[in-house]
Amino acid sequence: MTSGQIGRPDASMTLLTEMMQRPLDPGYAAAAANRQESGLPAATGRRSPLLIIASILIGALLGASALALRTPTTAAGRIKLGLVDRIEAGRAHADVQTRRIATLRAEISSEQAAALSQQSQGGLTAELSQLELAAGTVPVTGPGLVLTVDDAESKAEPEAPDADPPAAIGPDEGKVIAKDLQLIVNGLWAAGAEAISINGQRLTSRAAIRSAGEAILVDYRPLARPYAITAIGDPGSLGVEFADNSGGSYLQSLKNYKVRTNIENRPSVTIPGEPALSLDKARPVESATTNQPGTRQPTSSAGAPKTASQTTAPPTTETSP
Amino acid sequence: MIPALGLLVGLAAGLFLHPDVPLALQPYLPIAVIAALDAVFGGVRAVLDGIFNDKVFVVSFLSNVVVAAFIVFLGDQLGVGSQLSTGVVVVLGIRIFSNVASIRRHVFRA
Repeated sequence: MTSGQIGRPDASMTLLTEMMQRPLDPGYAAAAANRQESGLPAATGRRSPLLIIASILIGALLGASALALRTPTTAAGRIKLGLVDRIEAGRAHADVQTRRIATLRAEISSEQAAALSQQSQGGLTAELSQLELAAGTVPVTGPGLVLTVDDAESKAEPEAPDADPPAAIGPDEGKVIAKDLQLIVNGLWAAGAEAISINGQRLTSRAAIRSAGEAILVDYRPLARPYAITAIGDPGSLGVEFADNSGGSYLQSLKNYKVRTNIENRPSVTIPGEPALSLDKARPVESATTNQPGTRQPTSSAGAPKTASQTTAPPTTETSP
Repeated sequence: MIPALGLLVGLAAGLFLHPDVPLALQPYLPIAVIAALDAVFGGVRAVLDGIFNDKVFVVSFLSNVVVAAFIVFLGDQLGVGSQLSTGVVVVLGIRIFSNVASIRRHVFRA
């Protein structure tokens, strides 16, 4: 086959020239030549059962492979689209409900104020606002401090070559864990903080600081580092007392693990309210005249200092030096 | 005409009967499709050239499919299945395009 092409300049590319110049199966030409030699027309008829079976087979092959190869991607895509739809619907629903909570809450407080002023119980109004403050349902602004805690810098950063080998720390030891935040927050409460938030999450009596795997959850919402703890309290004593008590010394000990900390006094900080606080334990009282102990009971047990004991786990030696 | 009807019938059967292709055969399906298309366009061109032969058509179709599947199978065993699939697609694709160009010259005289 290639003997005639020996002299050609593209002789080394016989495969390519063969493919480009004669793409039709040579069998057709050979069969046609045979048939013409024996006196038949060059082309056969196009109605032989063999041909029809073959064409049905080809069609079935095309259809079946189109279905077989297409289905998996569309199935996965359909599930993904469904999930996206559900996420978006859930998000929209949550937004609507949050707006509704806000309007209902505003309605409730205005009704409450109106009812209390009608009964000319101004003392109750003041008490209510104080309890709301303690329970963390309303935003608070006042003098305080911002305490920032962040993980140790990663090991990739160059260290002093003469660093003491025992001081070298493991990859996770410089990581802030939930217990660190618990102890620091308890120290702040003990130092007289009136309201505390972490990364904008108000710490109410029912908000726990806990860990879920690697993440730190406050009130079941995950936090991202750095952790900014904002506390409102007496500007004169809060920082000093915190530095003196167990929380402050724990914060100092965290520095041994290269955890980055920073305390900053601010003349005015704002701590947001907790929007999703609901009443679980409160019950309507039988008579309206004795309602003071009844209404105070659930909220007073939810007062701010109580948080300290609720979020505190017994100190362990896990992170102490 | 009749082969074209047969193709449509087969296509409808493949689409509506929804045959279950065994999982082990699925990697060979794309290659089989390309090989079948190559045989079909070769056959159409032979018809237009006036040298069509049903036996050559059927044999070329079957051998195309079998050889293409065999190359892919061999590639899978050697760990270069996707590369060999690409090679088969390139070679058959070139053939399909030049056959289609020849058909186009027959039909449109251009």
